Parts: sequence; structure tokens; C-alpha cells
Amino acid sequence: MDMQHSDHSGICVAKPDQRIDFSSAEAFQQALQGLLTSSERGLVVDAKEVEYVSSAGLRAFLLVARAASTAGKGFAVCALQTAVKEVFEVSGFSKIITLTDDLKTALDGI
Amino acid sequence: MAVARLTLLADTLRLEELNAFIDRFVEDNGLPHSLSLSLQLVLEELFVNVANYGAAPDADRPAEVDIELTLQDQTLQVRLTDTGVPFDPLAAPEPDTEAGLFDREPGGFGIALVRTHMDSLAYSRRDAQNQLIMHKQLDG
Repeated sequence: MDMQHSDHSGICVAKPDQRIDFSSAEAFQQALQGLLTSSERGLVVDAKEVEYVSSAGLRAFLLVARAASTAGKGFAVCALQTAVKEVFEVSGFSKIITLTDDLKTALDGI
Repeated sequence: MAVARLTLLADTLRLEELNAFIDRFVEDNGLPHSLSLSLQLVLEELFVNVANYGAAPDADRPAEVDIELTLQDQTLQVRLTDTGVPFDPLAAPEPDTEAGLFDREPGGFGIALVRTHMDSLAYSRRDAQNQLIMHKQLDG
């Protein structure tokens, strides 16, 4: 999966622009894992352009958050659209994955 | 009153078709795009459940799923019927939404999402089919 990404002082910022559903979740997870591995300090997912995350998509976020924790790297998701944020909240994932309103807060927190 | 119906095999490769069906119904009835996303979330969860666990009991082919959307006044009804093994998605145990990063089961909260997005849900088993009837009240 192609994903726009950039480096911010050792933190990779990934900017997906597609739906993260049952069909795309695995490729999405693998793309994030790759970016996490090559990053020096951690990964931030800028979710501004993502309008849809299903429970299969949430699973991808969970697995990447675990991988980051195991590797001792930071992980955060920022700028979530309202409906997507609600999915993280209903599932309780907002308690175990750092969500921030904007990119700067996410970068500052890592 | 507007009614639309889609029958398809419970194969996850058919999800795109399901999503297009929902998009079309929402657009045809002048409803907001956010409703389409909400319905896709609900039906993806339920459809993938049937596709993963609900193989037709007497055959090696996938179960068949029938989805009917009905809009009357400001109430949307979603009726989901499948020919899979008996399964009441509403009886599934509630996931632990308090578990920590590593203790958490990666699945099981799909039904919690369904409950959030719909106002009422009712399951019944009849004529060797699972039937789930859901309602959502739309804002006037």
C-alpha cells in the first residue's frame, strides 16, 4: 500500500488517504509496520484524510501500537475525523492508543 | 417509502458490492454521506461475521445474505437475513473495553459499534435463517 509519509526529527509521519476496512486493513498494517521499523523514534498516523475505520481497521492500529511499544518507540494517531474518533472511543481503544487533535501535539508527545 | 434489496454470497470479496449498494441507497434518497459510512460500518461487521463463521450448514459453499433497506418517514430499517448456521450476534459476550494494550483481544467489539450506530436491534431464527432487524431514527 502506498502511503504518503515524511520524517520529523526521527519520527515518521504517515498520512493515509484511504478507507481502513476489512479489505485494506492488512496492507495498511504492513505499511505502517514498515514505516515504524525504519523510523528512529516512532510513528504518527495523521488520520485527517481517513473517513472510515471499521473494527478490522482498529485491529491494525492495535497491532502497530503493540509493535511500537515492544520496540520502545512512540506511536500516536492525530487529527481524526469525528466518526473515526467515535470508533476508537466506543471500542475503548482511545484509552490504549494516544490520540491527539493535531500533529504538533502528537510529535511533542513522543 | 423507499426499499432496496441486495442478495449476495457471504464472501468478503463481495464487500465492495455491499458498500456500493449502501452508497446508492443513501444518495438516491438524498440522505447524508455520514449515514452511508455509518451503515457501511454496521453491515461490514455483520457481513464479515457471517462470511467468517456462518458457512451454510449443509454445504461447502458460503451462506447467502439478503439485505433490505427500507426508509419510511424518518425511520430507516435494515433487515439482514442469512442462511448460515444459527448465530445470534447480540448474544456474543461484550468485549473488555478496559483491557490494556497487550491484554486486549483484537476483535469482538464490532457488535459494540453496531449497537452504537443503530437505535434498535432484534434477532430471530426462522425458516433455517438468521434474521436481524435494526432501526435507526434519522434526524428530521
